[in-house]
Amino acid sequence: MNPYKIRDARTGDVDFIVTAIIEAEKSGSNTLSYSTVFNLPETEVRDIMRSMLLEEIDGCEFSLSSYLVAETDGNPVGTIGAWVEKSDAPSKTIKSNLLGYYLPKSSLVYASRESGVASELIIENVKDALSFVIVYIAPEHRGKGLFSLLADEHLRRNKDVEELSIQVMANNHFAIQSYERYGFSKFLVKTCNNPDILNFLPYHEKALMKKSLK
Amino acid sequence: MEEKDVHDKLETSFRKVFNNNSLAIERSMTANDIEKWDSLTHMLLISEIEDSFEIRFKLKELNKMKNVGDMIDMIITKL
Repeated sequence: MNPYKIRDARTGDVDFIVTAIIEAEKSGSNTLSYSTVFNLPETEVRDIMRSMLLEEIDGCEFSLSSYLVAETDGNPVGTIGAWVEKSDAPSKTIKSNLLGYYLPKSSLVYASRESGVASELIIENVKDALSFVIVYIAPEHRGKGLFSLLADEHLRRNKDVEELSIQVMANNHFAIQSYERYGFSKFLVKTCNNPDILNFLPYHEKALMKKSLK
Repeated sequence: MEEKDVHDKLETSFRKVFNNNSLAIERSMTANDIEKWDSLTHMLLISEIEDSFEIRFKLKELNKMKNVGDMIDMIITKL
């Protein structure tokens, strides 16, 4: 019997979702872009993420409503945060509004002065595609098909979409292999040749992968 | 403050944030219409508008503003 139950994220999962976002952003490194770009300690980033997730704002990675959770023995052990990107409500604007509302002004000033290189690896989410934006499976539950279980449930709830998209740091080979097994293939690879990028992001190359459902 | 005054003052904020003294804003403009209007610039723009007009947006107000026209209308309600 499958020991995992897939369900909507709820407020009691917030700390797990914060960990998921942080670990997904770090991509196996020690570099947390929200800390480096905004010059904040991880503890403060964690508090800010927690506050943003508890707002009732839909449509970005800081929206609890974006997440499905895999649970076993009553504990969350995996999650995918996903939504269909709409041109009239771009997730980047929703996310920026949340970040701008919660971040100290000194962090915005720091980012504008020091962290511009980080924007060189930004890849826009694909319009009208179901974008898997945050993917995290607790280490001891990896290799057990949780990505497929969570992805399938997101798909079941978004039957009209014709395309899936996902972004991943290009050195995260384990994740890329998992996504390829699910049917994703690399659509675009963006590279930043400025060595300063590694002061802000875990790697200098990022891939956009897609899967057509047509 | 009249809408035209809000428009002009808002345009000054846009010009400052985007570092472009010839930038002309229109009600229908969105982030897709202005080069360099990315996530960080959006945050800086909101912060500059709040300082310039001496107002503070609520989170839900921020998410209602879909274009420059919405910004002008929202600012007017807060003056």
